[in-house]
Amino acid sequence: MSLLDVAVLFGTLLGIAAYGIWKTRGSRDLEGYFRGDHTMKWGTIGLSVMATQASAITFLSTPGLAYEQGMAFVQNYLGLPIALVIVSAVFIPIYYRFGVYTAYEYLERRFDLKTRQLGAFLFLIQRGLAAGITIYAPSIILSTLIGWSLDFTIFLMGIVVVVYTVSGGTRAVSLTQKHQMAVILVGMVAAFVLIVSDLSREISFPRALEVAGKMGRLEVINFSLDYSTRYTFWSGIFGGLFLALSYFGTDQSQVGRYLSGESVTQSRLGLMFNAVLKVPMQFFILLTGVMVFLFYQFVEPPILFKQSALEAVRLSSRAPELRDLEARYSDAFRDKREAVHLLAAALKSGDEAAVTAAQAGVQGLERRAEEVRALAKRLVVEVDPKMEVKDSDYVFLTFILHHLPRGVVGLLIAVIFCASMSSTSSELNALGSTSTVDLYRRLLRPRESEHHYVVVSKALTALWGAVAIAFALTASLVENLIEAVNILGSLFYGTILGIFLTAFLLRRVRGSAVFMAAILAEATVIGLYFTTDIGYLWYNLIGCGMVLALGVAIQSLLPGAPFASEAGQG
Amino acid sequence: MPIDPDKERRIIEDRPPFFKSWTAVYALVLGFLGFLVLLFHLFTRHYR
Repeated sequence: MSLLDVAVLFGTLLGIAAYGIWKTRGSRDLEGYFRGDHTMKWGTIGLSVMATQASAITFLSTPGLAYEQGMAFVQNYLGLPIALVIVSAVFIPIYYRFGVYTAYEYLERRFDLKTRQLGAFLFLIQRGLAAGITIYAPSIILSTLIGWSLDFTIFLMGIVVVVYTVSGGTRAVSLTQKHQMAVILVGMVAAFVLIVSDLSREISFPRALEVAGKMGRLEVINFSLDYSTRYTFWSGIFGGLFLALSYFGTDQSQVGRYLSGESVTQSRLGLMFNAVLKVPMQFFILLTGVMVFLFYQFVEPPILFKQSALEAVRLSSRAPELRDLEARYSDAFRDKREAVHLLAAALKSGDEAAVTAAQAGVQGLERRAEEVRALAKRLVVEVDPKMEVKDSDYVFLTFILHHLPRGVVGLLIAVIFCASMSSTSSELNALGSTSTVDLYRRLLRPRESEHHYVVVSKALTALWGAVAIAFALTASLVENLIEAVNILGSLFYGTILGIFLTAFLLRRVRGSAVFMAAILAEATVIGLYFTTDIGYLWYNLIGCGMVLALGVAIQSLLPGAPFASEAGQG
Repeated sequence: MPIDPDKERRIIEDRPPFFKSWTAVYALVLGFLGFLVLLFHLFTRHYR
């Protein structure tokens, strides 16, 4: 990185963090620390909710996913606007009515203490692990850039986020997210414009889209009913709906964002802001990945995007084999580039037969290049069996570092760091508040001063930061970062959502029945994950459906007792 | 835990700053989603 990039990167990151700490100094009670004194307007809430969801993984993995598989991943988000409408109409009024700090407080009022603890426990497990992945993602960038060890980078990255999250609580998280999101949007638009501008030396934007379509990268919607196809319209609408409903309705890292709203209206508007903009934003990020894919049809990419994997082979006695593979890959690339030019020319001429022939030629050469890549990956594993060779997360990063101008590189790296910091801060804030309110205050020390709880919350937030950092140290074992987070969420979210929907919809079902149903549902989902190949989004539907059905069934078998009221046990 | 009647009234009477009711806002948001799905479908068909 040039000096200008370093200045842009650290100026942006430290400036925003320092602003957040300065603006929120002096929060001394729980109301201020966990709900930001209810001062947030819809714009801040909307950007905060968006920034919480859009982690660094979104900006690292998603373009890489589009590079490898095309744009079908956008279907994952089709259920999101529906979920946000439901959260706005059903969940928000209930949370405001009971004046809760965390979503799980409501479960005790509706059911009982053990159900509240189960909800909080499932959240803490799932979110504690996910926070580790959100710290890991940007750390691979810095370690690649500056040559620091990955472990040290993870540690350093985590500390920066912990400092301002512990210092300012919810308000610091929301205020910094607003500015971080502005940096993210400016940076991504700049990246897209520059890629298209670079591409235009070889091919016009409309023709580039046509080529990408012929190379199978622009299949956005797939109406297939095959349950094992990972991304379809149906899995997105139904599985995605349940994933988003659980995430936005019951995950404290999101609930905490919109409960800081000045009023119900401001909270609802913040969610509607996301309901309208989230799907187009994901489409845009995936399209950026497709543009990077097209760029690398004309500019030769490395045989593997993960340079550390190549470096391991170059330093071994097998280096000549790698050189041979790189030469074969270069040959395949040159032939493919010619074939892509032919395809573009055929598309321009409108000759269907020529298009079909050129398309077949490109596909054959793409297979040839992929075969060489596979051999290179095998070689890496033979040299270092512990080395992870999946490199899609490195695609966008490699493009940024090698093909964007000075200053913009720093801005784009800042985008990824801002995204990571914004998500991690929400997660740590939520983990701290849930541990304090649902476990410490409820079970251990119920009658301490407000100041005492704020101090404990800060300590627990820091502790969760340490847990997330520890988990991040093992995150390199996962296949694709964004999928890892979604899979992890899908394993737990269905059950949590089932508990909440039972609370809202099935007033006859009581605490013991829903508790047993949730335990059985979670065990089934985890069992299915290890024994079947069902697309992971369906676990949200299965977990939720099982809790609802089993809750009713178990309740009918239990001896009669007075039905719980919404006011419950307080 | 008792629910504050004033808070309850504010929640029930909550209105969006535009349109007459939240139902209209939700209908608009879901209509926009339908429009996006249609656009994506046409996009997929066009570039297939």
